[in-house]
Amino acid sequence: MTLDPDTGKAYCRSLRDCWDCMSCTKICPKGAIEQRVPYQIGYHGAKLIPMMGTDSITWTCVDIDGKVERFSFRTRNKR
Amino acid sequence: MSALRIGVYFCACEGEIEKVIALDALARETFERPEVITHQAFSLCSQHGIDTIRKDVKKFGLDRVLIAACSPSLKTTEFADLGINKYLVERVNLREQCSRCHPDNSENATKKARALLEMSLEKIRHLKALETVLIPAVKAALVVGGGVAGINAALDLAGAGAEVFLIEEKPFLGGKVSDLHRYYPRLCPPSCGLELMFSQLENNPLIHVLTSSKVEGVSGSPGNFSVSVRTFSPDRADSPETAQLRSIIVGAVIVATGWELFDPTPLTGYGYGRLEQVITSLDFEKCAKEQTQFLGERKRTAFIQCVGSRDERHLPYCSDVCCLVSIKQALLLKLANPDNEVVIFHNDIRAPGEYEDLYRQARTCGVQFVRGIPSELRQDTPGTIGVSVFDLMAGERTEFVADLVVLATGMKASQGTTELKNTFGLVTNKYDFIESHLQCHPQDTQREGIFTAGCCRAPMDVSRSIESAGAATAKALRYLQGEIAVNPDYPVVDTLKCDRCKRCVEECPFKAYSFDDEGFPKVDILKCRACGVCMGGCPLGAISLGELSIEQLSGMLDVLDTSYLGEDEPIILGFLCKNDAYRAADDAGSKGISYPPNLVSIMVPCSGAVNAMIISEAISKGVDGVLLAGCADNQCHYLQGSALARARLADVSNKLKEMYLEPERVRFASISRDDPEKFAATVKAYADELKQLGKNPLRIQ
Repeated sequence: MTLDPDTGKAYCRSLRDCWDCMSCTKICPKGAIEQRVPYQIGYHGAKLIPMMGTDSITWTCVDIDGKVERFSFRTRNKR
Repeated sequence: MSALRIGVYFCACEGEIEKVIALDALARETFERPEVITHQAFSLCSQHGIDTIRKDVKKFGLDRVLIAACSPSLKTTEFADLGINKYLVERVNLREQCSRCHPDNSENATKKARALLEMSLEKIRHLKALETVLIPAVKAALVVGGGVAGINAALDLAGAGAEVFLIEEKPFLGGKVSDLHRYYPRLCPPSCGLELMFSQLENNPLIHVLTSSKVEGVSGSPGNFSVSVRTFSPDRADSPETAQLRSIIVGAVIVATGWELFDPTPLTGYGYGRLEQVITSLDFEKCAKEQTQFLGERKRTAFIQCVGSRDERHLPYCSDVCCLVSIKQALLLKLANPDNEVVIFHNDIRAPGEYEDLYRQARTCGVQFVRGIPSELRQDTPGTIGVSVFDLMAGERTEFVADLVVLATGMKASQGTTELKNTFGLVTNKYDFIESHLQCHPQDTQREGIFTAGCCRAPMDVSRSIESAGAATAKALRYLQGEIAVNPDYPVVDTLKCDRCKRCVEECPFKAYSFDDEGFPKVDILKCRACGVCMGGCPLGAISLGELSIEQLSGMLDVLDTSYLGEDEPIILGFLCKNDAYRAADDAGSKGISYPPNLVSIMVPCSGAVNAMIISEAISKGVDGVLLAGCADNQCHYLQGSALARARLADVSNKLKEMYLEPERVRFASISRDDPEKFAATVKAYADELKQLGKNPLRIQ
């Protein structure tokens, strides 16, 4: 991810170099970044949506059939 | 943490709390914790109750004190000195937000009290001992603008013992007032007061007057502003490069840059600048002052009110003084020569308070008032102006031939105000006048240590300008005592978490943030008002206020029992703004307005202080709904707190939608301080709505 100097907005400068780590998706305060799930994990229509807490993260996983599952984990963000 | 010794004190409030809440059971349960000692008192705020806490603090060496009694906004003086740092004392609201608002449901009130107690017991672990910070400040002030407001502010400040630098752009002092012929309502000459003030200025060694001078830049903080001032020669012959530049260190600044007259030339129908007989009210003052025969010789004069004022195309506001200025001038004409014919064409006359007498006096003297304003003037014969208007009161067209037409034009923000706005980073309202919070802090600007006096804040007459100068002086004196005491509730940035995204710097309504040498945000505690907008906006949760940290909030969420009312009842977590919503909630209790016990509340300094991560975390931890309640947008003491909270909540709401969760699980409500009914109705409606939605799927089974 990098910043467009003209608009000041972030964009992915090289899609093929993205490792799908989802760091940007997790941290975006506006929830403006969506991750296309790699085909090894799920085909078109599948989604992974993170929601960050201060010491937890909740993932919503939607498979290609629209089945929704949610998982909450503790993170190590708290000092 | 386990070594902490906590004293938990339950107050029966002379039986009132005890009547509804099972305090015995709560005290017993709490006492089972190894680190806690508990005590039940009939009345904790009595001298006996306070002495008991003080003795326990000493005897048991308590590290924290938790008072389960009335609202934390009450009895603050009584519980201020308990022999322990006051920031290590926490309050649980068992009266206003438990026993009083759920009087008929003892069981649920006790359950809610238990949930609140649990949260507070967790919060108290994260409290830190804080001390007031004392910062040295110079005993000098800068007053910008040498008009009547500025001169009065300078004299008042010097009278209080402060050194004063009075800066005026023109080569002389006095401002617009020096052009006036008479003041209203007493019709006395301004020179009388001005000469007295000039001599006081001259004879006061604490006051340094710098005329033909301009403020070029400012740096530093309240208490120690460094202001660069450039002084030109009176004829302005020198270039900015050759003019003398000096640096002045001051503790506070009063801006008194005055006003400018609206130029009526664009209103071509009135012919100002084209027709010799058409002048403005300020021209009238100058003529009356300079020409001895001016008032007596005139025969027929028309005053036209609201020229350009209350007009969306020019000045959309009322300038407050024009009606009285015209009445004064009409009266002067009549008093100078009773044969003078004077007509005031107006929309309505605004003469509040004592000024009504002036209006009556004008009527008695024979000044005519015609309700209706001409859209244009015509010159039929040389030397006279024809005024034709439909008189709304008489219901017919009125014609008047005038020898002189006076346009009562409004006041607008001065050029100096606009320049200082940029120099000091001030914020203006939509009419270009400097504003912070008009009702509660009229003399403040959005920058700490900088205040306004006179017409740079709003159009006002001389007496109100002088009054505002006194108010600004009183405010400024806080910064001129040699040292400034700062409450330790300012935000602290955790540089280990911070990624220098600058959001806090951008969003701070008071521009209290700058960057340190490594690029991390650094808060100037003298400029900060501890609203917490930075804490609410930090995407990493790296900013915490002294009194309320992200860690405390997160800890409280960890221990919140989301099933305290059973599996089928929704739980609402309310973040209530300290100024309005929390007090409205307290009032609901005090007035016996009951609402469902489904809401547990956390007091926050501003709704803008609640971080989206905390809201998301609450939903993740199974809270059914989050209610963020703050002031209406235009009432927020921190200006944009509510608006920012609303925007952040919209982001969380969108995220919930993406997650196939109901976006209604987060809600913003504007609750004003005096509207407990609305608060109760909002909680009830939200609890009903959440019941319809069903349980939060993320609630742990």
